[in-house]
Amino acid sequence: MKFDHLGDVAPVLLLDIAEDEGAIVPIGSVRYRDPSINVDRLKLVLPRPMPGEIGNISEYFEVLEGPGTATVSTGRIGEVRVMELAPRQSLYLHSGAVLGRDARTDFRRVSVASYPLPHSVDLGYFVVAQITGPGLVAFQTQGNVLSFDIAPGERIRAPPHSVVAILPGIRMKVQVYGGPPDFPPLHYFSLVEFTGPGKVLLHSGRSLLKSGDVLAGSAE
Amino acid sequence: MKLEVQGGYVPNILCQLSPGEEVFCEAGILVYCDPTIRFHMRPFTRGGAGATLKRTVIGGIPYRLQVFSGPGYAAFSRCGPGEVRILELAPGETVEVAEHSLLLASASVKYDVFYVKGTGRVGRMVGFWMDRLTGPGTIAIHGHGNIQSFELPPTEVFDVDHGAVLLKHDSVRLEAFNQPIGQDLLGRAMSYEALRVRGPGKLLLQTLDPTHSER
Repeated sequence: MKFDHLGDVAPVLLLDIAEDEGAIVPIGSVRYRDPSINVDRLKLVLPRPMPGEIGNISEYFEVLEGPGTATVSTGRIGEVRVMELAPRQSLYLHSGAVLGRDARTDFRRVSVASYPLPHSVDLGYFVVAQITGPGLVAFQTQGNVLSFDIAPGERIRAPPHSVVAILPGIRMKVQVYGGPPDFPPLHYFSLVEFTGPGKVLLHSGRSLLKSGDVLAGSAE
Repeated sequence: MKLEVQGGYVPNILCQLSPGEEVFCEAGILVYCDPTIRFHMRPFTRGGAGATLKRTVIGGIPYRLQVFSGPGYAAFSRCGPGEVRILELAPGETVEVAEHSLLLASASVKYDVFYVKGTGRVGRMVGFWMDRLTGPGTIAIHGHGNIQSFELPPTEVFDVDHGAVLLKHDSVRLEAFNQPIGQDLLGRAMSYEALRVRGPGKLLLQTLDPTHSER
């Protein structure tokens, strides 16, 4: 299987799928495909990511089975990134939309950080899509990608909507700011603080996605 | 303060602040920052509670500005395709910037807002807000799409769509007007609404209307 991306402002992902291989893409995202590509619908039943929540959530995807080529697109501006994940290597996506992934990869939603909510006994959770290798994965951001290789002990802060992808190894915590005395009593905002070593991808656009939602699949 | 434009078609501006230096901007446009950066709120309540409520509830203009203090770096973005321009304002120099286009301004820049009235016709252009920024200091603005720059002589007059206005000197006047364009098939009068711009002064236009739907 090969992934490539074409175009500049509103790119597409080109998937070259061999016989007996499969790629999983968001529903309705295929722009064209070879007639030899077989399309099927996939229902994933995933455990809820928040601790303490019971039950499962279902998400729907399309499976493209080779041989042949196909292109998929979000129809939005942004950049596409392709990564090859080694066995058991994970990628955590927040504002990035999964454009396509090898059918061998594992997909689930997980909470990677919790933080106290102001004026509440409840906790807030930073939920991401976890994709685990082996296999290729491609995702799209909104806007331009800002890639940071963070040295050991080095820190950087970003609001959650700027966070595209987190690679394993990096430590993160979510901090809530605002409130008196510097802000109005009900004005709070959160920043994610990343501590190296590791890599984090941010973007300059404001994501319309929540934890890689609609474009990663279609929630039931 | 050092400013650097980063990125491509969705640019952001990276601001390097020395100890004690401050910039302010609308809340919610931060992309990333150094952990050493401190922030607080600067309320904007000119005209009292009633005027502030009107600006905030009807106009969507924030009643607070977020202030970032150095040392450290912080990056800001308007999250749309476009261009970023950095402008140095001389003492007393005033420019007026379309709402939600200001990326940041140095603490020495005086901030105000004003309303450009529409024609008041039902279902038509209702007007819009602009930020008024007075130097000395540095500002950075985000133009949606590409930015076109004009230097208008005193006699120059032309018409623009209201979503095209990005920045103007305070000497440039804007006035909404209604232009009849005939009748429809049922004999009803048709018209379009636009802004008449009169020089002299500097005018920047943007080629994408940020008030249009998501791109």
